Amino acid sequence: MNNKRFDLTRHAPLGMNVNSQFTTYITLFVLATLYSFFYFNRFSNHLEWLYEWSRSAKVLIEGAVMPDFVELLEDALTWFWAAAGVCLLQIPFNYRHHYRETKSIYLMKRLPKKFELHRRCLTLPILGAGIMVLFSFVLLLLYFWYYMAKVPSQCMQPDQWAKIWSVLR
Amino acid sequence: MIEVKNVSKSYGKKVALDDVSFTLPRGQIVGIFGENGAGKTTLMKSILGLQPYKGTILLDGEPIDRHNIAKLSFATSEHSFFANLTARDHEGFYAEHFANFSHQRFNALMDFFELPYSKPIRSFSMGQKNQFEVIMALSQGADYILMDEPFAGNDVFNREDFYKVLLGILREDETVLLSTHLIEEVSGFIGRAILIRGGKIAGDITTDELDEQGLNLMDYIKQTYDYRGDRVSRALDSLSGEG
Repeated sequence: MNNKRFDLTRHAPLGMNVNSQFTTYITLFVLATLYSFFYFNRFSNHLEWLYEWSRSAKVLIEGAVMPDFVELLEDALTWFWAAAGVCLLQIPFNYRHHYRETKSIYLMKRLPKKFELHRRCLTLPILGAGIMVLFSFVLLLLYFWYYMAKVPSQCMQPDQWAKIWSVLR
Repeated sequence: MIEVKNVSKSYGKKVALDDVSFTLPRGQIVGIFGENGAGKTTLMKSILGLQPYKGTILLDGEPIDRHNIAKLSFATSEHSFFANLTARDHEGFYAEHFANFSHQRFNALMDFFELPYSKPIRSFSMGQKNQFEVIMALSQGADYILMDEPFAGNDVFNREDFYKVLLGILREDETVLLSTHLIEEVSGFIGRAILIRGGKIAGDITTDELDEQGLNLMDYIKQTYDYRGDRVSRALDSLSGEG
């Protein structure tokens, strides 16, 4: 007997190609993560521009100001939200699967477990979308921590954390 | 016992079931007959809770919901299996969800019909698909087995085999409600006939009552439907008169 805890097919519509669905989610996740790395490119450029070279030593330019974190972040994490949307778009296809070729919907609707149909149609898309959104927040915190740790305090504009939420609002 | 009380169902302005009432005690094999669109499928779907309706349907005195739905099984010509899955996959799924699933009956019927266990059902012929649909309904462990045109597409030998098997394997307390157009074929093994016409019960008679009246099922159906035997000859006369 397979280990049920790791059997994805138990959480998807019966007979559906779960591997291709899973591969799509993983691909979206990797692409979104790679795209978010452009933040480091922008960050390191702007960090470099805070300094000048004087007698082979790197010194801070007087009055130099680092752009706000949200400004540097740009759309680095929005691909996670787009990927989450793609995951959720799978839901109607999962329900529709029970009307293709046969009417397996009749069997699913008369199972003693009331939520079996919905569990199989909703679990993976919602889990996928949830992981995308959660990971985007984890990266947000990580990138923010990196920004606060690396930018000299005299170059930093105030209220960086508050500015993130003002953008979200 | 299934009790259908004053059940009505409409699709827009079209009335599919109109104040239908009857009871279905345990242990009967009941044929349900009627022309296309008479309401047979609608009635079965209403009993199974697959669609909303007006009226009351009780199963052993209780409303049908998740706690007793496993007492009902369903075989339909539309097919309710998963085309991508194998017979073994279905066996596992049914066994997981229906506590009374009979592996013994499943294996016996699969072997009898010589159906492959490990091929996707999609690869079966239409006749085999119908057989598989019926096998799952019979193996579920339900007390009431509803079958809606289960033999559409099967050849006569296939159907003959099926009737014999059905009579041989059913327990005394198992009930079958069978909708079919094959009136003469099933007349030998059903114990009761319910006739539906225009969404209403047009007739309800046991085979014992038919015997007492000296009628066969086909005669009773023709009589109930006010069948005009001279219709064809009159139409032909009229057509030949035109020529």
